[in-house]
Amino acid sequence: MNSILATIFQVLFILLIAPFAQGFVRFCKARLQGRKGASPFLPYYTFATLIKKEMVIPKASSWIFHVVPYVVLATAVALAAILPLLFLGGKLASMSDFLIVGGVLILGSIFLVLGGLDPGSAFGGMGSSREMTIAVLVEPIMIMVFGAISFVTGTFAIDGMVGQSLIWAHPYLLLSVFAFALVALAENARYPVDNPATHLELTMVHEAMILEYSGVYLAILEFASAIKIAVFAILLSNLVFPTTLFVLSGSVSVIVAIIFGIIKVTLAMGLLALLETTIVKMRFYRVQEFMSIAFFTAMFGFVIALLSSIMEVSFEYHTMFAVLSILFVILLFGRARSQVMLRYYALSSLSIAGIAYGLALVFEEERQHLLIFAIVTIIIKTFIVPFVIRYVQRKHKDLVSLPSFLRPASSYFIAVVILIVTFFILKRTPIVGLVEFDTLLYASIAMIGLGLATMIVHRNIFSQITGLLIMENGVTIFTLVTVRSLPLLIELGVFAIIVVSSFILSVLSSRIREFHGSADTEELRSLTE
Amino acid sequence: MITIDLIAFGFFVYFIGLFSAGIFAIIGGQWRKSAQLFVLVNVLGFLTGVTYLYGFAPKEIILAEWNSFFHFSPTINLLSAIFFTIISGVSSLVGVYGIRYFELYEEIYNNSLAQFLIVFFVVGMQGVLLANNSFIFLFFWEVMSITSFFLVMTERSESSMKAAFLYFIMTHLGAAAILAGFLILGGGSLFFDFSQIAIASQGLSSTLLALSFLLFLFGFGSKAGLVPFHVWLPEAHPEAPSNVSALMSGLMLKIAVYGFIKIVFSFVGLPAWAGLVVLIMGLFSGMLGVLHAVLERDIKRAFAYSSIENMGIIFTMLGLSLYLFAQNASMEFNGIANLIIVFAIFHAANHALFKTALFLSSGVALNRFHSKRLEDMGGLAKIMPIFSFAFLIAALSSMPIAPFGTFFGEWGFVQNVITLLHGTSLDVAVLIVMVVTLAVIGLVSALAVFAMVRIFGISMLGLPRSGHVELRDEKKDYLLTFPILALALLVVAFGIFAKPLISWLASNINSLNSFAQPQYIVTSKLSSAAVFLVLAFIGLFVYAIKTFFAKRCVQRSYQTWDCGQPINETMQYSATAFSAPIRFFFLNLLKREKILKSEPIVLTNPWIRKYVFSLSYKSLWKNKVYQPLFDIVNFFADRIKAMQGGRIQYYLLFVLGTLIVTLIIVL
Repeated sequence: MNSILATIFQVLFILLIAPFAQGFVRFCKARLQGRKGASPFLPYYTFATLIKKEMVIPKASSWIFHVVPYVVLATAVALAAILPLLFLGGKLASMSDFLIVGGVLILGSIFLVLGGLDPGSAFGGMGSSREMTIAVLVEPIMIMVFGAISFVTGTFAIDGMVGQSLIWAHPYLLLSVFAFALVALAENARYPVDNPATHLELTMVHEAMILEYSGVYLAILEFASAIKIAVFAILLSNLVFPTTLFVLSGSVSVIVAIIFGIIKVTLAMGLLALLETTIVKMRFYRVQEFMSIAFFTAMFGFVIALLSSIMEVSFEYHTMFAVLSILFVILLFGRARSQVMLRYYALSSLSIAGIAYGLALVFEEERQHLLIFAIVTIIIKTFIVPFVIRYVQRKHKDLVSLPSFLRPASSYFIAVVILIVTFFILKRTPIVGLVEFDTLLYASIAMIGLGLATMIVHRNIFSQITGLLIMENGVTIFTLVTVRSLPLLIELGVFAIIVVSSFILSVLSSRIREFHGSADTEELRSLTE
Repeated sequence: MITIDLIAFGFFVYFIGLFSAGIFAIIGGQWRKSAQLFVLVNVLGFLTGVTYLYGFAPKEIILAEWNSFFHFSPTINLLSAIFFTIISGVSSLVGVYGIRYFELYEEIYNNSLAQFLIVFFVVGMQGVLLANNSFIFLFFWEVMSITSFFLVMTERSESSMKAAFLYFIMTHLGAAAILAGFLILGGGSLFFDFSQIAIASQGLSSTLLALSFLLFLFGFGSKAGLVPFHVWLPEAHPEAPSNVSALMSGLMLKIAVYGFIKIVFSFVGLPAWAGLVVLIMGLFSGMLGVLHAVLERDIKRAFAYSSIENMGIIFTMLGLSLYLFAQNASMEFNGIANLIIVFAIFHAANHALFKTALFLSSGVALNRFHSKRLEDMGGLAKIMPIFSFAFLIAALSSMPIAPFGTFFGEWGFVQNVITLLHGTSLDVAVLIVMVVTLAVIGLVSALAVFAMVRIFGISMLGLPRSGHVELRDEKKDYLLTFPILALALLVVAFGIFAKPLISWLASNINSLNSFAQPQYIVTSKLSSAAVFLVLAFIGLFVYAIKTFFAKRCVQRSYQTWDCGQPINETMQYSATAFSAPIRFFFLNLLKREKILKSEPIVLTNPWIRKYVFSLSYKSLWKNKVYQPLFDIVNFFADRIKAMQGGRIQYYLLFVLGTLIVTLIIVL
């Protein structure tokens, strides 16, 4: 099968399955919410009906109003033609350079925004302003994600990137794929960035811009957004499972490619429906937090890819768990609710148990000690300590949510700065050559720094406890690196101290709050009588 | 049959033609004839430049040798020819625009004086390009600066005078720095020939080399609008008439880039930190420029800040290239460094085209709405559809999007940076800086898109927000629309032919500096023409399908949906509101004052209130950096003023002091 035929085939497939994708998400959401839901094939009828209806053109609009639907649909169809969705090596494969794909996406957004401003209504202006902001914040994330992947694979075209087995050979690219999933949510106007189901000011971004369109134009715009979501779903699945694509040279079974495509769309839409049922839509001014998380995850992935190729660190389990533990602490940094912070702390401690397990795989003679250490860490730090703290808080009926001094985006930025500073300090100190595991040493020092920063940045006195616990985690990793396993009695003693001290500190914090009437360190600073 | 003599002849006719156009304007007062001659002469100059580029490209041609006249031998080489061609082409289109524009503003401007000054402004710019020694370079630089100073004051209003004086001070500080740099290079001689730069820089000690580099950076950077030397740009460019703003922003800034490339890239043995300093200043300029372009409510100030952003991007590329050249241990980076310079020049060429188009469009909008504020504009697309089409293409061409030329400059840069990251001989710190550069360039490009969409959307779409728009027929203003459309389509052409242009430029790049290797790195198999064709094809295909499927679609026209409550033009989103999320997200980087006063209209009813809202931006740089400097200088000037109070004893004391100091130095 030659490449032109393959491209045409791929475009037709996407055009046919796009309404089903949109309908299937709605259907799954309805079922998950306990309703019967409309048939997943309803959008086909919807589009057919819309085409027959009369259009109403607002008087205040100009020629741009008429041009917008065509351009938006053209960009969506271009995406379906360029990207490697069913086949690898289609005719337009060399055009799937990630910057060009980004440019095509933003061209569609630009015209949609202009179409929102044209009718001269307040709804349209609001939707346009919000959509343009989201498009702006998405662009650096796309460059970081695809920059990392192209750095690792050596090619700039998405066609070439997908063709290699990414995740299994380079596990840190999972971070980039995760960031890309967040970008896909933002681009397609899904939770938590936008709600495609309502038409209220509070929740509209995409819907606000197409509010004035009706009839054929509305059908075109809805079709374009359905195509986009189908394309992103299949592209994400291809990044994670590249073997389901078919290379054109070689015996290809078209039927199998189509079946795989249908399976990918169905699974992805089902997962999307599950996600939308579980999480809430964010307030629009918090979208910067969402985008900051995506950006720093992507940059993290890029920097790890860079460093692992330079320093030739072989990627073993304990390194991966060390990275995970640091990642959870950074995520903890931007949060305010103590329950969420404790959850991330528990996950971080779980990763430390993973480090111990990874080391146990490497060092045979101390295996038993390390495994016992891992199990005890899980029991105590993941379950008992958070439980103790929350028990004390609940007993004293404490409202424990106070923002930190910095906004979340700035918090992540400070965390990254601490990581960079730690890296440069470690490069200068002579201890690095003596110890075997450089990454673990780096993780321990970074975690101590981050714990200290948590104590400084957060205003809540309960966060101080969390900061101390993080620092203690850092010291634990340091012990794992240098001594590798302590005698059992000492370890049990240390764990007991952690539990008891967290209990005492929580009780103390509750008492302070009762006595002074506030848990905010800003207010506790002033002298009382 | 195209000989060197023909090209030399072309250049001479060009300059003589420009002089005569200037004389026409000032004597006779026939500015219209002068403008027409100006357009013709510039077309001739453009053709001469193209002939040179096509036939003789990297060779340097000396057009004449007038040794008695300050050793002036006008020389043309690849770099100056590129900028010469662009300046002539753009000036001819701006001249066409000016014919109609000056007609509209006949009562306010002194047209013949303005035309005379514009002609000599272009003479100054082209003269800088042909200069072969420092004296001639600075002479034409001064001609350029002084004519533009008077041009900024054309309107003779209070604010334009203030802006013109600020511009005058900054440009002369810059010129003084460039002069000092030349004096250091030339060892005190005023007629320092440019072919000696490499040799002269090798003879300097490292402190002198660093000092001259910093002086040139300040001189050219302040002219180009690099942060922190940019304070004059957002004041001066908006006050000038629109065609003059277009010339200043589109062309004069490129002369600064030309000067920087010609002089600094010929230095031998620059330290590595020099490139990093330029890179970081470029990133700052990009970020600050685009952030203010997004937030400004005056259309021309927003465009001026966008110029600062683009200059920032160009200097980022140049800084990275300088840093790579300084890695002299292995010559492996020279190929990539040369290629990055090529992308910077390509981006500069595109910027000259689209920025001119944008400023010309702002002139039309200004003329229709009689106000520069975006809050007063709106709805022009219904009244002037062809102009709005031209403005749309111009605005799209300013964004890094696929079929336009601006895309290929940044695309090449990003690709080369990612390729560089594989280079293991570079310092880890610099690799992290490069990753941060990628992220910042991504953010800056996206914010540039936001800024242009906002300006175009608010000024052209919806309904006129102040309710007042001049309803002249669009056909009378065809001379205003045609140059904008031509410039925008040129950017599209640059985008379609990007690959052949960049390859040709890269293969000829050896002439720019002394140590360059002829090999260059081909980046990808992508053909730029193919991108344009595919997008156009799919667009037409979609239109055809719609016409086929929905032949009988009916449409009727009705007012915008208003939920039962009649809406008017003041209920639309305003420019301030459109950029509110960005203002919120980047609040830490800005200094803004927001005052919201609410008081009840009737004291007994607290629910019906009157709101007064004001939002203003303060320039951080002006208040925290420049104002204290000015205050210190003023303080010392006040103290010294006491000496010139008229008492003869002080004068004698001053003369005595000078004599003693001179004797000490000499003896």
